[in-house]
Amino acid sequence: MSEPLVIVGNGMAAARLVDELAKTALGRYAVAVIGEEPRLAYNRVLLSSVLAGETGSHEIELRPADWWRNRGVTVRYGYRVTEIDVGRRELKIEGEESMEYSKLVLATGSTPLRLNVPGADLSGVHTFRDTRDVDLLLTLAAAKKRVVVVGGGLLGLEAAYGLAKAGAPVTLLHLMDRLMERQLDAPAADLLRTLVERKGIRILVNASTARVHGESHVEAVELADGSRIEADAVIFAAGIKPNVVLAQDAGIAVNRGIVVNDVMQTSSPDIFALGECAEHRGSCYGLVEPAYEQARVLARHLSGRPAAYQGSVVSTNLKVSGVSVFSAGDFMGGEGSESLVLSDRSRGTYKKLVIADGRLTGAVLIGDTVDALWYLELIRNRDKVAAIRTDMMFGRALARPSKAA
Amino acid sequence: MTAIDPDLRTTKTTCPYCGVGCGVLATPDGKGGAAIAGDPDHPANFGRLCSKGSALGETVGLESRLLYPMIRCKGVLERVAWSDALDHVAHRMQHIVARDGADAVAFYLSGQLLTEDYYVANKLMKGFVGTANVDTNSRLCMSSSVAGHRRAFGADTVPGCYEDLDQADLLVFVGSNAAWCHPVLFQRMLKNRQERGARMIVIDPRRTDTAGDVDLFLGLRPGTDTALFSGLFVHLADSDALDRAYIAQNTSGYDDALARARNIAGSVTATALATGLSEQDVAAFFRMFRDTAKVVTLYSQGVNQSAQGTDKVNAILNCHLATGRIGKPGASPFSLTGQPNAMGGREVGGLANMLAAHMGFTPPDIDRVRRFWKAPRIATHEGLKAVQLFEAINRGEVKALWVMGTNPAVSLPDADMVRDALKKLELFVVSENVLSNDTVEAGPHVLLPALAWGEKSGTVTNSERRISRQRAFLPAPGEARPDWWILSEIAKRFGFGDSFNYRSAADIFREHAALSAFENNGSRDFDIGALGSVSDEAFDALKPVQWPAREGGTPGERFFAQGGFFTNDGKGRFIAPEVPALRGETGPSRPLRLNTGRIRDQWHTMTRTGLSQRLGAHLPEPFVEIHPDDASKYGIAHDGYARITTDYGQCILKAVVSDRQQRGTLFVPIHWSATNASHGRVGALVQSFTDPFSGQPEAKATPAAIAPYEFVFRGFALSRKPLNLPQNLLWTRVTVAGGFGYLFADNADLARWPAWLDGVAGEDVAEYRDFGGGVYRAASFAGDRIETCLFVGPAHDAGDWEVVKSAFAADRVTDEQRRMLLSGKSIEGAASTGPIVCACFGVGRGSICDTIAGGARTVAEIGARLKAGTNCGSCIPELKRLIATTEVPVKQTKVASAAG
Repeated sequence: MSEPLVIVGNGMAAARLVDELAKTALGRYAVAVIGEEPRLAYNRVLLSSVLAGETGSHEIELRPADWWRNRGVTVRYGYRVTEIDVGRRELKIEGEESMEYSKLVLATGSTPLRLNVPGADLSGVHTFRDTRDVDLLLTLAAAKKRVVVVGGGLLGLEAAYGLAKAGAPVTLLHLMDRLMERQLDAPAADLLRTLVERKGIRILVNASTARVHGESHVEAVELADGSRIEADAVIFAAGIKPNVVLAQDAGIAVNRGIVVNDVMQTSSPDIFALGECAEHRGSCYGLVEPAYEQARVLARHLSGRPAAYQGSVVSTNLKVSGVSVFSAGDFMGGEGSESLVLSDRSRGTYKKLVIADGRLTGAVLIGDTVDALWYLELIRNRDKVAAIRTDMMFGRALARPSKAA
Repeated sequence: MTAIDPDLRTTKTTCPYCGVGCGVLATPDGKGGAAIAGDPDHPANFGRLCSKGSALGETVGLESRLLYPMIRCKGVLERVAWSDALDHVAHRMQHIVARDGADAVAFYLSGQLLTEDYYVANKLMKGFVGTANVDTNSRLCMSSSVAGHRRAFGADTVPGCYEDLDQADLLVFVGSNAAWCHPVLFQRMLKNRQERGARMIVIDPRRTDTAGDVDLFLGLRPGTDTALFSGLFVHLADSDALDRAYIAQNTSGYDDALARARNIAGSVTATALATGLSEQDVAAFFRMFRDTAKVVTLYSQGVNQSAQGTDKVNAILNCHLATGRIGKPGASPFSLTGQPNAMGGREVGGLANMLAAHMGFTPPDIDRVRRFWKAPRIATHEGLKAVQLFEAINRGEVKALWVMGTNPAVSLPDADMVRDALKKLELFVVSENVLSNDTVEAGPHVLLPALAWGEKSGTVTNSERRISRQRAFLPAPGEARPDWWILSEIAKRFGFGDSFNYRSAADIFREHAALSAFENNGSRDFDIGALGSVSDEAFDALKPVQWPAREGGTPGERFFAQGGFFTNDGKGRFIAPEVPALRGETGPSRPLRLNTGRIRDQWHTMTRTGLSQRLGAHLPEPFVEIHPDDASKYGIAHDGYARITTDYGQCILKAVVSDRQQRGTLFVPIHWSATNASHGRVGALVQSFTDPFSGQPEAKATPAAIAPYEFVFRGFALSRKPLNLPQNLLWTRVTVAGGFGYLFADNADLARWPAWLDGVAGEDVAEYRDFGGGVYRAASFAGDRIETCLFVGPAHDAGDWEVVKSAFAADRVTDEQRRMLLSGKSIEGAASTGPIVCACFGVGRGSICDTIAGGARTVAEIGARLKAGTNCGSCIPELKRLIATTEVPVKQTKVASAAG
């Protein structure tokens, strides 16, 4: 009889973990997935693309139902886990019978932050997290509603772009002095702003949202400087917080996220966590790539093989059509590092490579991201780059011409 | 249907470069340019042209032209009316002559001038102003040959004809890199070699391209030519190879000259010792010369440009006189001239030590010319020769100078002194084509716009005494005028209108011809009396004609085969030369000898060839060539920079390490000036010792030192318009397709370049910075077109100039090209074609090496695939070198695959 393994959360991390487990520990566990969202796991990264009308909603499903079935996975979507009884190794599920587990994996993801300002709870204030949000935003756009997007990070830009593409007049508010300040240096952010503005999106930086006006429904957003932006809807896209309540209530150690060790194990030995809800070596990742790496490590561990997660070198990709952005590693390039910069504003290109100790340690690319993965590989592999330094800015094809033929 | 514009008809004219004097067919394109082809009917070239001639169409633009008269007012040159400019010049000259005498004024002329211009200048000064201070840049080029000819023949007669080059069985080149400097004649001689088996010997301290694959190369020590030919003379005498009858009937001075030769180099062993050659090589040369009746000895700057140049010429002539091998088909000494009309200038007498029409300053000559010209103030003694003239200017003795069509601030020895001396003049007039060169920058008071090649009309004479027409095929631009017109206008203002009332070049030519025949009756070699009454129409239609063309004489007369010299007794003279010794001492601080010369694709100071992007591609930067042993001794790296220092000046040049260079010597090309290079004024290095007979300077053996010069950064810039580069930079300007190129080297902080670019470029700029790696690159655009490119990097990685140049040459760049532009690399992987080897077809070294590696093992095969070497042929020696040095991959044997 297989050991019951339950995954709480029905997102991309869960799907990848099932996939990895099927490869490494087939038959060892009886896997069940319980998720709140009322559909099979889908590619959340593509939501902005759905919003922009570039991808159909049905096309983003990660795996069809029979894929789950063929792997003997019980998928229960639309159910909310309310409590973990660590002592009894049992999960309480809203409106359902409890479920036992031998091993438990928390893949509960994160929730968009709502700013703590007056009016934040008015009707017409939304977030951008799941397919239900997308459906709602599409309705707004179709009605040409004036939308204010709060947050000039990856999520906010994608939401703003999708809305604008779908037909809504969009104003994007960003608290900091430049867009995507955690991924881009000033020239990159400046160019990005120009490019996004060319898409018809109005951008205000240094814009601190003071309150949302409206009787019952949103009417305007007021900024700290007193200025007022008329709006029919407000989208908060100013950050996420890991979903840790379930773990916290169960007495599992929680910091910003659920604290895990190098095999994704929480303070409770049979309970694991991965993805956006997990905190590893002090880092919570809001991106899919680390979740996938964690899934690989966890699957190996659960199959009894040695594995250790060392943390991820994160990279950021923004792909709204015509504006590609990539950022990885130490993109600012501080003391003791050197920067290589290629800039061609009217071509919409900015590329910066940061070198420290003879290795590539960071990269920012705007416009021309053809070689993004190669740079990421160089950063991750910590290869010495002296031999290719003169050409690396211009791409792998030039710096490492194929020896074949 | 396209109507043919009658104005665009093809015009027959003559090339304005070397003394070969090739016929050119020029067809104006109606947009200010012209299509250029060789004239198949011209006996100098039969349709061939060299790289320089082929590129003439690229040099006739008006961008850099002087188009209006200008006078300096309060330090600034301002445009004035012709009449004002002429009044000013005439008035100032008259004032100086009245105050200080006629010898206080001087003309410095050029082998670029037409015979008619030369004639009027010479007549005005020597007959009417009353001074023989009329010298020319031919002084730097030809005057030792002139002096040698006059000593031996009694006249400045070149006895050789080009047909001799077809008929000779042995061609001896002395101090002549004909492959580069007279390419069309060289090809003609190669044809003789191929078809008739003529052998070739090259005598030169440098293993030039002429020496590429000759039968014998004699790399003698600089300045020892006289020893070699003295040894030959002795050998001919001792091995009974003399033409004793010829010597007895037609010559004098044999015994003295032979005794002196014996003294200098009395045997093969002594000759070898004196010249640094092996006895075996010396003996082989002597034997070949002795045993070959049809021998032509061709000599050029290596002989002439020497403080003993005249003796060298006579040492050669002695051997030809002694064997009677002179003026006979296929057997003659032959001086190859370097300029299109050096010969015409000599015929006119445009040299300070000639009077006119091959007449000198003897009382009968002076009287004859005076009577012919009805000259009120005939010059009665020689004037100052070029080097002495500029020294006299520097001392303040000559107070007025008029320079016509030449660039003495670059080309004279001790050129920095010359440049400074020009500033001391009370009246400094320059007649020019260009708005800027080092002489124009040296502060003339008056600039007069002269017609350029393609606009002016008259005659020139080539190395074989053949007079050809230069004809106009482009309209006179701006207010430019013929030089003869300018001079005649001055003469009228002096009050000599009746004697200078010329309406056309034809008028002048007729007078010139008449003077040549005046009281001649065969007593003077130069006689073109048959042309004295040529009509304007006949002058326009004049076919190339070789002199002498005596009234009633038979055409095709040869000189000296039967004697008939122009000395008093009609006998040719053997001359006893001095023991050869170079002027200027080498020593610990100046251990090397600096040689100077031309390169294949440039001409003089580049005011014309510098306008051609094709010609700029072969050797774009000024350089110094050094032997590998000397390079390691003095720490010079190939492709690095080196500072050359002489007692006169210094230059910083790119180093080319080559075993073609002799140990102990350096070679630098003469072409660069302050106008196109920051540290390449080679004339400033050259010592000013001159030959006692010819006044020609010792320009090929200046004691010099060399030291490495390090630059942290190198780079280049390309621009649609000329750039003002930052200060304290080593730079060279090169004409490139679509604009101006600059190659530079720098030691200043990299950070100065973005700031500089900011002042040059517009809004649309792409930039690449790797300051840690020492790299800064940028380009600015106007739409899809590159406006400016700047590449700066460490010496080993400044970006590929060839690749960026080709992107710059295009009218538009694609987005993908723009993406890769600042990589400085070609995206096709086809990469750069490398520096241009074949200038005629623009074929680069990379393409040629690829083709060789691909199996082409002969020049013909390369030509079949790439066309390289199939026009002028002057790159063929380089092609052969590349064939010899390019590795060919071992051919893979094809194995038929068994599996289907």
